[in-house]
Amino acid sequence: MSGKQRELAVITAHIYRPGDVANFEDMLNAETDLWHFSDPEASCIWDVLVDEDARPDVTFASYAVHVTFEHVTNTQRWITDEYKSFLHEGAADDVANILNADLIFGVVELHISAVEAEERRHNYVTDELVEVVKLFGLFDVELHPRLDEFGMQESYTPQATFLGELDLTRLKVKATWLEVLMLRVLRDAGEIGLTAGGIGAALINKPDFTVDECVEAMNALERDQLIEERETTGGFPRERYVLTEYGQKVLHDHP
Amino acid sequence: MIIHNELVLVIAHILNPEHIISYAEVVKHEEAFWHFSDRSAQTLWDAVNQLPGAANYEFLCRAIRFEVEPMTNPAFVYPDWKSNIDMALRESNCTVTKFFEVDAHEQWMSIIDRHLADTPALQIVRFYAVYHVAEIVQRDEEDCKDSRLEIDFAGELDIANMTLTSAKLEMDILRAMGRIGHVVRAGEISAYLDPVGMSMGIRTSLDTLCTAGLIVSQDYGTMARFSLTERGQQAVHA
Repeated sequence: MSGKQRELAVITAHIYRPGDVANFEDMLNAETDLWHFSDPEASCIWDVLVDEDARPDVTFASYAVHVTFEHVTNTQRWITDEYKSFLHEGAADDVANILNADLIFGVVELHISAVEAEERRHNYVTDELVEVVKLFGLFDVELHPRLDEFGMQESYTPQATFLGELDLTRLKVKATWLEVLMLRVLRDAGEIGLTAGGIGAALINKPDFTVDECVEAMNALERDQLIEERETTGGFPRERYVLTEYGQKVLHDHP
Repeated sequence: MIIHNELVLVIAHILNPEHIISYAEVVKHEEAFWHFSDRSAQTLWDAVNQLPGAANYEFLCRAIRFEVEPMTNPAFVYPDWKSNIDMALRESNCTVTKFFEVDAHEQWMSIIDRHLADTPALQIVRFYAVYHVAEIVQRDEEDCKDSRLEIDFAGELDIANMTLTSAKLEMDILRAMGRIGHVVRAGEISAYLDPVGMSMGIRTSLDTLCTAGLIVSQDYGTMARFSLTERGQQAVHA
């Protein structure tokens, strides 16, 4: 049992600056979470906190970013046939198991810069600083066998690789079932392609789809550049449809 | 008109004919968001039949129980990063079933059917539904501002083919390098893209581009300089 799957998580980054006050218990609970410190000497949360005598509050002596994961959801089938995410399997609790975690802080920095740049652009004079950044993070998760003391495989350790922030302005959606059926029909037709009527005729044995649904699906495929029109000149000029290179790739992803 | 993309997590529990369910479960889920393959079934009680001599019930048709979770919109800080869809749902005073039932019947079912065609034994189908949310602002004859939302289902998020913002940044860096000149300092790229100054995001992207062989780093004394490789130039022109 091994494999890799992709997961999506909402990443929340709390930004602490020198002088910020936090609750001691909260910091104790967050001790093993994912942290980034600007002070290169700091290796854990207790290296950047001062005034511990002033409990229940503690004060930050330098810049720090605290990252947590929410709504971690696995929509693909997990290898164990369940929909467990890497967070539930413990990878995110063990920060050493997140590769590329530095990139998370890079993206967070970019968000802070963007907010500050926007405020400058509008000549806002404000003392409010960015305290929280939220973003959708994309991860690839791999399972690595874990052996017991006798060298027998005991369980699996998931290792997550942060790939980057999901660009919400450019989301891609999967082809619908009807669209996939149409793509398959066009793949089978090859370079000569099919007319719209030919596609309809090829779908005759498939579950019932209305003409409107078929027209809508064809328009969507053409709009998303999965198929394209090709005009033929033999006999009556008629528009035929063929798969584009991108359409072939999509079909490859949904065989 | 302002348009946002928002995500809604859809979890569909598939219960096939002859699936056995206890009386307690029927009561527990009778108010849930259901879809029945038998269109004459209006409620869960219409879709199940009590087994003789037992307190259990069996399904007479395929039934799907939906759980729906509107995801956060990171662009909206107030209130609490709630999405337009989440806010509309809360303010509409209607149930999740009423809010999403048309989409569930007309749009989500074909997605579920495709998942089931690939793996007929599936008991749960999960997917992220992508919604285009258009915020339309109008002024009436008395110049009062009025806004309304149009929420349209776009499809199932293609998690295998997602565009990342870091990928966009990397492309911006390549294009900037193509415009600035042959050999450039990191600071020049940063100033070109973002007058705020050098950010960690750009540094990380430069490393990624070096690893990918699209740019090369040359150390001229204390200041690292970068230049496009042949592959990088091809990417810029593409």
